[in-house]
Amino acid sequence: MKIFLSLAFRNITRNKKRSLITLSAVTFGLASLIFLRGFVSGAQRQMVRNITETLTSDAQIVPPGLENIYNTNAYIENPEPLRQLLRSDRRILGFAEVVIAGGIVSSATNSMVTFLVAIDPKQEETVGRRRTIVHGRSLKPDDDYGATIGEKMRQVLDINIGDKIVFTSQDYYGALAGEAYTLVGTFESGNDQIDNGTVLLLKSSAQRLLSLGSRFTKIALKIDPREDLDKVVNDLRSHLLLPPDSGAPLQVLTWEELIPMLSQMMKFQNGMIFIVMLIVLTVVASGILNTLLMSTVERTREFGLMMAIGTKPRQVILLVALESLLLTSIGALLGVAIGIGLVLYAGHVGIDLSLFISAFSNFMIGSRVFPVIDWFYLFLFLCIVIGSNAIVSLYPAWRASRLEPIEAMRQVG
Amino acid sequence: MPSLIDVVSVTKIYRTDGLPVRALHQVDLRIETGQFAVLAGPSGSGKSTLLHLIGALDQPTEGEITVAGQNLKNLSRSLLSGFRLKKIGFVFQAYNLIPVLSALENVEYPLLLQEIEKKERKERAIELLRRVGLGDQMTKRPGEMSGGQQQRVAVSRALATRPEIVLADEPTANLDSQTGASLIDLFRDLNQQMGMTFLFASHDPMVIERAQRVIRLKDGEVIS
Repeated sequence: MKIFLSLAFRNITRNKKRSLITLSAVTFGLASLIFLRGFVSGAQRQMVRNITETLTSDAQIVPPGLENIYNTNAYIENPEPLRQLLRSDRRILGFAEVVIAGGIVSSATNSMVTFLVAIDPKQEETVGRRRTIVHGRSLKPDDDYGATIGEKMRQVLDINIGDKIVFTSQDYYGALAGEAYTLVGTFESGNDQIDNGTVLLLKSSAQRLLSLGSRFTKIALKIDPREDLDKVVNDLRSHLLLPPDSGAPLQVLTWEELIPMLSQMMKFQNGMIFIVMLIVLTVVASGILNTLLMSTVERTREFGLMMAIGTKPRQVILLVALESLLLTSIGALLGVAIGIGLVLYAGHVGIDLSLFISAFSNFMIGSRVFPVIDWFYLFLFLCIVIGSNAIVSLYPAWRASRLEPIEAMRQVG
Repeated sequence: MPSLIDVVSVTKIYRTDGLPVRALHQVDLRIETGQFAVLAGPSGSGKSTLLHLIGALDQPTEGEITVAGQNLKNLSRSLLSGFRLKKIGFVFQAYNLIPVLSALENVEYPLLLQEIEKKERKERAIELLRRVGLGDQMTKRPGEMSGGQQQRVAVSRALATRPEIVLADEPTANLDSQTGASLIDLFRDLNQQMGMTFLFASHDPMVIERAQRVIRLKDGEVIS
């Protein structure tokens, strides 16, 4: 084995230029795959974080019917047992009770259809909602008649901080309900739908307006990122099958279930990466195949001699496969090193995508993407690059092993 | 004396451009252990073909060959390789060495294939290289050596596994007469000192002159 390893190493250094070109193909192919995957993983992670922090949280507990995020006509009736359950689970870092309603918001000059989102600011801190205040300030616990709205909505309503808005909706009993609120601030979430169509009130204000008593629409959950989200959600589901005194059975939905389009898009992106990977691998494997074929054809006489003096066909296969493995492994190691280096650097400084931001603002990736190393994919790419090149090497190796010693030694060149 | 090589009614037909070309016809030959013999004849007489058949590098179209008690018929490629490794030492006309290995490593190579332990392997290879006068050339690669030196390395390699028979195909063809003569003298010395059987294919008069037995071939048949 050792002699074949030594022979393989010396053989790949024979034609340095050709080996270098092949090595470069493996190196840059793998490095670009690792970087591309790192970029997509970084963008996806930012997107999920921004969307869960802005829209869905990690998971939500909702009454039946509210798995449709546009439906607002159901309530959690008796939340106390649920609160106790959530407080007792250490994997749940925080939860926020939210009232959601549909209605119309009006200023002195304009009106528009909107969502009402009503929150408890202290609870919301525990789930980490992110809204950037553009004008004014956030809601405070004593803002009983205060409201914040999306900055874009403010522009449509043509109002300023301190102006009045009226929110009109249907209350719990079906009657028309409306109240005037003072605009205390405007925010920007990065999502057009939210910034154009959300009025933010205190939960207590909404419960008063809609005659809800202690009822609210849903609970947003912040789950420890070190935990398996699906497992936590399944555990909660098993507890909520027959919730004691909590009224109708509740549902626990992950962000993926709440916005299936997002997870579908991520799966699509992952699929695209695989297609790119196949293209890159095909190019790299073709390079390796070409190098090995040229190298084995050039050494036909040498293989003939080796077999004439007692080298077995399987040892010839081993030699050629080792040459490929060495070439690929060195290229792959360099590729991994360069790929990781690029991802770490770009992950530190970020990649500015502000030029394209309007194209995907609703995906909430942000204007700067910070790639991250995706170890699973890195290992997968590494295995596939080395594995596919090992398979590709089998053909020239098999060809070399099938040579008739004496015929091979008669070859010219 | 026991027969080391037994060639019985061997015919070899090649196909060149689809046409059959008879290289050997009904050849019978016996070579005893310890002989220093040459297959002599003009180009195309079939001497190299016969040497290759005896060396298990090729298969006869008809007939049977037994070497060192092993019938070579119907052996797999792997078994034939193993047979060559254990029983036969080869010296070819040219392109005898693995270019990326040094002289010492080339001699060690078949011993590595035989899984001989390192100490013995080194000792044997160094001893043989010294014996052929290359004690100071061991680290050189073939490209850094003259044709004569390369042939002597090939001789050392052929002897390293202590084969029962050494087959040499036109070993002097690419050498000047003086180098060629000293190579054959070396073979003769080894034959006499170690009792090793040598069989050459050659049309070089110098080789034929020094052989103990001359087997003449013409048009694929043994004529004397």
